[in-house]
Amino acid sequence: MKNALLEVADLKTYFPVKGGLLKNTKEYLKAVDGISFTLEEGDTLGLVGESGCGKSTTGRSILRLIEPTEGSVKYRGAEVTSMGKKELRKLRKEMQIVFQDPYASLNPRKQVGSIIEEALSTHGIGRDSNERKGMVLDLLEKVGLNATAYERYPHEFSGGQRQRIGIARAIAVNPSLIIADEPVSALDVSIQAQILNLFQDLQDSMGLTYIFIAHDLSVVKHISDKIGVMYLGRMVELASKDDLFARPSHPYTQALMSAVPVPDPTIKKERIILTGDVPNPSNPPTGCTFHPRCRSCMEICAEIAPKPVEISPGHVVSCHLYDPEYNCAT
Amino acid sequence: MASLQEKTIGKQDSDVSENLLSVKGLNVKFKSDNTKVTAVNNVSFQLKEGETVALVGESGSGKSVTSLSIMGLIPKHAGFVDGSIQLLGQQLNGLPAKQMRTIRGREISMIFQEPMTSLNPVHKIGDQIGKVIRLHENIKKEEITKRTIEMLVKVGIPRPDKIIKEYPHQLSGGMRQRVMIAMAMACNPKLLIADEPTTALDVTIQAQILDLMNDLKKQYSTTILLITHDLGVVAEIADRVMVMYYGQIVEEADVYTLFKSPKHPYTAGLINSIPNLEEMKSRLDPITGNVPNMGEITVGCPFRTRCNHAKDICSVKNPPLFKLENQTVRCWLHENKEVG
Repeated sequence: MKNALLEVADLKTYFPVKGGLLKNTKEYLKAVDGISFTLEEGDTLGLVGESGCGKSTTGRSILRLIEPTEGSVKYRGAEVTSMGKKELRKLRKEMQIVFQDPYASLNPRKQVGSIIEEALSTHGIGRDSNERKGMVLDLLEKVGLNATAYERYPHEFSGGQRQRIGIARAIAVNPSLIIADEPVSALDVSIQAQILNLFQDLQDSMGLTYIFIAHDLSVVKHISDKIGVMYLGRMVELASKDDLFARPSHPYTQALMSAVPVPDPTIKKERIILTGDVPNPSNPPTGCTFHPRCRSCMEICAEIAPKPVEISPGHVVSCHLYDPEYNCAT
Repeated sequence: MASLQEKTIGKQDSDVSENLLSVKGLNVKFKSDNTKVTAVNNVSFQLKEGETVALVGESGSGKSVTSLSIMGLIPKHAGFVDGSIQLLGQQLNGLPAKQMRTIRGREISMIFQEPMTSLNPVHKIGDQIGKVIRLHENIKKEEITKRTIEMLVKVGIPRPDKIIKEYPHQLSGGMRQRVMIAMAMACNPKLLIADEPTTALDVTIQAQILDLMNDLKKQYSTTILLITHDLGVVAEIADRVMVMYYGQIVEEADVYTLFKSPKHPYTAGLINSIPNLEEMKSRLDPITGNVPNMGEITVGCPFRTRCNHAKDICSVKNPPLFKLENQTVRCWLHENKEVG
């Protein structure tokens, strides 16, 4: 049994929506509304969902880049949500983030070497700048970049290479957990594969744990051990990769899987076409937030939000169809 | 077809076959500092009536520039478009702007990737679609409104009589793309160019839009030129595929042949590098290196720096297109396998 590195329980992040003449808080946008999962050391959790489902906010709330409203995040047993500034700074060395847009997340006026070195000096790693330079050169090699990158600027690199720089900066402080927020979605397919392989290589060599956030189900399937499917701030299904794909249970998961186009013209799969759009998260539907688009919708779904039900060990679904209390049919 | 040819003034030597669109020797160059950079290099292809052809490539491969040249949308001061583009025998390249306007929207129309930036934010939906109809057809105002509502119904927009009075920002991304499609189809064009029509959309919405495009294709037998980087979308909707790399078409085949036996190392590399939902690979097989910058490679095959099969000749001479049994491929590996 592996150790739990991260335990997230009932995490909620609400954003106040201000309006009216006096700009009073009128209501709350529930970006993350009660997410729970456990992540073992060395594993990869994939968070998948469409835009606005709260997957990025979940990642940032865990790091406290956005303050969560409620709930608990435990890193190696220590509560993250109540940490003070000093402790939090230490924790940043353990948890790092890789962003989607490598164009926007690197300082254009700094040389690549000093971008990565900054991460080292901030955390007091390395005795002097000479030692740190050596470490940076090692890091560049580790992520597959040439040593000449040290003195170049971000704009001189292609998208894939910039993402390598972003990864080098994240692993510079030797973290245990990396939250990767859509790290390959801005990249061309041939480059995307290179970066995915790099993530896997680094996981093997450094024993990293990942939370991998992406909207592309094929990418998430490729890299994850465990997958959480999110819809409007809630995790509708959480299971090991094999379980999820062998037995997708939530109607949304099923629709999402069937919607992904397969790069093989001989496969004609049966599509579940969802009607309508993702609702506005500041005014979500009552009950189960998916019910207006769900083809298995029952009366109860519009009234009461479903509780998570464990349908097999480690496979949790939030849907009334699997709740014996409500669904007499099955 | 005959009537169209009669009314054309800029008509030159016409293409005799049943081709709807025929592009020959298309070259597009852009000014960059004091040099000219080639974005599209000697591209030739034909589109037959009613077929859906995908133009596939990564960013910078020249696929969008190709489509913009067909539409006559490359600004004269920035780019040099050379070669022949014929729609049903009518030469489009070099046509005066005024005449090109009668073709755009009526004979050829286009859907863009980002519906928010291609719809005008300060005009109502109904007015924007109506304008296309008004520009090309001489009909009464009430008729235009009726047609607009009809189009919105066809692309699956609920409560169209209300939507025509709304503005683009009031709609979701999927809805905006439906509006774009309604606008593009309003005058029943012969050719629809769809430039990454689903890239900005979520997968469940992408599925809806692909479904809609398949429906419209059947209903109107519109010829579609689909520009995309997503091989999943290609497999879903295309009859024929052209793969572009570094401004050139490197492989062309029907969709089944292309996915079953890709002949160009780049095509094979692309197909291998995507994670597939249906099969499980423990490791992806990427193409090494990066796409070279435009103007970086001037001699030989532009793919050779990333190719595992590169030979001596590849760095000396750029291969021509070799015609194989079911496909054409621009690669020296297939030099001796040519048919005919």
